[in-house]
Amino acid sequence: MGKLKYRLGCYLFLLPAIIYICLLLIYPLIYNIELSFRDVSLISYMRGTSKYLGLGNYQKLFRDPIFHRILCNTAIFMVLSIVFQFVLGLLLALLFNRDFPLNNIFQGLILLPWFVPIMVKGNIFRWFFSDMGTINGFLSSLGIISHPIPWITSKSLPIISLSIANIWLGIPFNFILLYTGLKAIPVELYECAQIDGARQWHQTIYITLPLLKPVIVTTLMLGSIFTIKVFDLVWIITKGGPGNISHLFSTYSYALAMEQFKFGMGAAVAIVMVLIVTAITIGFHCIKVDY
Amino acid sequence: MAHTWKDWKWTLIALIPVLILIIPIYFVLISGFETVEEIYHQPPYLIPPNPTSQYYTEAWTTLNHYLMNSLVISVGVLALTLVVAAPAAFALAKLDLRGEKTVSFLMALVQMLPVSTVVIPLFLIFFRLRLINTHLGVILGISAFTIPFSVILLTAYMRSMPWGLIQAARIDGASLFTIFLRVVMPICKPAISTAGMLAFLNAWGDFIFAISFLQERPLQPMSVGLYSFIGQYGTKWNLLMAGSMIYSLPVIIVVILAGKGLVSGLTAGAFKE
Amino acid sequence: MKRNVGTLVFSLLMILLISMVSFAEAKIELTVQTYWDPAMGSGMKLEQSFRDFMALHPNIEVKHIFLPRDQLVQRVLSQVLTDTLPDIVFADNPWVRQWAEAGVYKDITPLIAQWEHYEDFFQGTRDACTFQGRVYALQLVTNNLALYYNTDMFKELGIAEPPKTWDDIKTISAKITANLSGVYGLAFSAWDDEECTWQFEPFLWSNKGSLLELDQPEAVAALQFWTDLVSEGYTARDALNWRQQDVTQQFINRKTVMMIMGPWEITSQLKDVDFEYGIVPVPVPKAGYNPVSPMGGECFGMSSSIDPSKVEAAWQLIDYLVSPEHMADFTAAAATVPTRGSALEFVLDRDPRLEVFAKQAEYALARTVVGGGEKYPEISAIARSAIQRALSGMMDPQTAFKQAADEIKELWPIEEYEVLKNEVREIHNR
Repeated sequence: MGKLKYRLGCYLFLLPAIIYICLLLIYPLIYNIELSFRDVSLISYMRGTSKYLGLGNYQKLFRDPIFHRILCNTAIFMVLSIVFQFVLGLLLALLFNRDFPLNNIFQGLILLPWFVPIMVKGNIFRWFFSDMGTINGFLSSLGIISHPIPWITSKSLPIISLSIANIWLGIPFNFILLYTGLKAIPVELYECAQIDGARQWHQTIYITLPLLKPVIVTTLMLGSIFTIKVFDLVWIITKGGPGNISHLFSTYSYALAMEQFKFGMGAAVAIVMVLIVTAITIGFHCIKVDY
Repeated sequence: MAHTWKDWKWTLIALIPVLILIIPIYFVLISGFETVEEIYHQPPYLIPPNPTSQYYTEAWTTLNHYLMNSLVISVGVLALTLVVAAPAAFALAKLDLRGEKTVSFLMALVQMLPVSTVVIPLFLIFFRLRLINTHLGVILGISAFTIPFSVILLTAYMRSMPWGLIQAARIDGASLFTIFLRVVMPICKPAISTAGMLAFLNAWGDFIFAISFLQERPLQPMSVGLYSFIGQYGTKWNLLMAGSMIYSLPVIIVVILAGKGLVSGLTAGAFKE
Repeated sequence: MKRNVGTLVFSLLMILLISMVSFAEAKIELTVQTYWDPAMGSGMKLEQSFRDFMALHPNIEVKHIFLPRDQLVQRVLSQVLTDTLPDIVFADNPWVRQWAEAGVYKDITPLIAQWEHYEDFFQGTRDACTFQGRVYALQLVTNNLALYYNTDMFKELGIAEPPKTWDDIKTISAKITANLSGVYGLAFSAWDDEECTWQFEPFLWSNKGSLLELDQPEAVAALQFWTDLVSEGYTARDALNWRQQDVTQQFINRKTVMMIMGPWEITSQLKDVDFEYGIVPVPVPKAGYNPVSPMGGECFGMSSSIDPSKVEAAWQLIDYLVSPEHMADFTAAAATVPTRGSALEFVLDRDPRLEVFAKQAEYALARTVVGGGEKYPEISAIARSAIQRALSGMMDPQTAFKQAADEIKELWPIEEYEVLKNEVREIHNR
């Protein structure tokens, strides 16, 4: 009997979150699935007269060259962002794990970009990356370039520039999670290793990284969530342009719905994105089980 | 601990990445003191040649009305997120429930929906609940995304927490609730502060929910203020950057006030048994 | 029986309550939702006008709700779905037909029929607010595009005349870029937004090109001209990311000597500039061609769900706003152009800089009329995407517009497309 009560108690902890999510997120999810099966224009949306299309929106989407572009962009953006954020964050964390003067102040400074709202960061980069912007200004005054680099106005650079911005954005977060993890490793372990005469980089590879694994997995997972959800940054810097070359799922979904009033298509993009994320998440779980 | 000259070598090495990370913010800070021509100057000025506080003053007069609303919304989201997410994370991490995997999966999944697609359906729900044009509506909307995220973050942290303390407390006959409050929460302080901070930041930066659910100007937060500010001044970068700095500053202050800085909170050393 | 008595008492109480409330609150409240920021230009003037109107009509209380421009459609959509539209619905003119079809607007044809001023409005503005022969709104202001040039810099460089043709633009720009480093000839807005299509339209239309046939030589030539400007360094590549306000900033900071812009900047960003500037029609392809500008401007109508007791007050407000005196007042303060002939004379007296815009207003084309009606937002998106591809060098103008034309063709069944295409062609050849 005590056991049953205990079980119920356990679920009580979970209940508010479940109710909350069902109420506020499952409904929008279903709503969007419904929209994605319909031909919804502004007029039919407002009048409630949209036609059922079945998979029509999805078929159209898979033939859409912009959609293929988005798949590429998302892959580039995700891989660049996550790899560099993580590697740079880890290197910084290892660096700051040493004891040196001004360590604390520097840590505070690293976190600073994190606290600046995204709307501001987006505008900073729009300004930095423009042809007459700060980056080109520096490069040309140092004599490195003679013509401005078209960071966000050319065929292939925009998605790279957006990734750079996002990496810059994500480093503080990766740093702080990994640094916390490092600090949690008991000092005694290192002391043992030192007695055994292990070299420093040996220590890092054989002691630090394995112990850090749970933190690393979490960091990568949260980093991926952050990255796939990026919207404002791209919307402010390039708005998916020029010529729809730098769209991600989130921005294309928004552009289709709110600028071209193809609400069904917009919802379909969002749903495809959720499906892809689901597949990746399942993949992630499988890998974790393997360990 | 006394530092030798060798330690300063590391300080120098660390200086490089730190500079790269904060240079953009530094430029925001100084361009608020410059004229537009000075901002466009090539090569860019590193120190404003003729600093003026005019633009900061001008930006402040427009934006200060929004400050209180931003605080109310952000603190509300912070509180709601932690109250809902922390117990859920505890249950998922430590209580060995059936269906735990499904729930975690659901959490990861639902928050993937782009915010823009969620706004209209939520508007329809909140309209029925009479939550449009209330701060509560915006708080509930933003929290829909911060809660799942915090649950994931906190669950991961709590999983790596030692079992021993909880077992001991259970043997002592403490109720689950007491254990949660007295044992789990104190240990998780660092992770809680991170999750709370993230929720706060998210809420402070939110624009879409605020503009969609708050139609009356006196209720709107600073993000909406800054947005129309951008609309008004376009690329008058000095005013925009001064406004941006004013918008960012409260967050930075809150972080500093939130107990000796986030770093020390995060590195409280909970695991050093 | 008992229930009936209860109902009776209840309804009596309600009637009493309602009459008390209405007695105490005799004021009729009207809400108006616009994207005109009360902090500047049109928005500031509009709120002033509301105060003046309330002084004339003490029984009416007008409330202005402001929101950023790119949020208006989504806001109106959620208001329609929850039946909470403001009493007065404000819209940019290309949206009116679509919203009328969607049932956002109240049909005001009966009110118009008893009103003798309707014929005074320019044809383009009447077209934009009419759907299937019924009138749904009245346009308060109109605007269009022209070329601004920095007179001081023209003098410095010894350029005698402002450009009249596309070749003139190139010659003048060549002179500017050869003499001044870091300064460009012409600035326009080509970011991924309606603003790009809108700024391109004077070039497209004055060359008799059509949005429905972008693969035709007239349209390709217009795009080729824009592309040349960028590739020859006469226009900054950054134009791909410039909003219209950014273009004005470039002009103010003397980073560009000419720009394509509407009249509204005269009293907002250009208010305090310390140099002289001139305004001429957007240059045409060759001498002998006529400048054609798209018609901008915003309309006011009543919400379809407006309370019948408010209709009269709402009509009074609209009637006040579009009256020639107020319209002239408003357009002079906000630097836009009136939509009716009788207001036009007043306005030129007040601000002669508006002359070019005022002249163009009578013949400016409504974008929906020559841009596929309610499909205009989609067509605009396709067109500007192609423009961006050409300007950024991803594709040559021919290929970019061929692709766009194919996409646009598919928006209708083929016969319907043919009819529509020919109608539009006729308008352009007029």
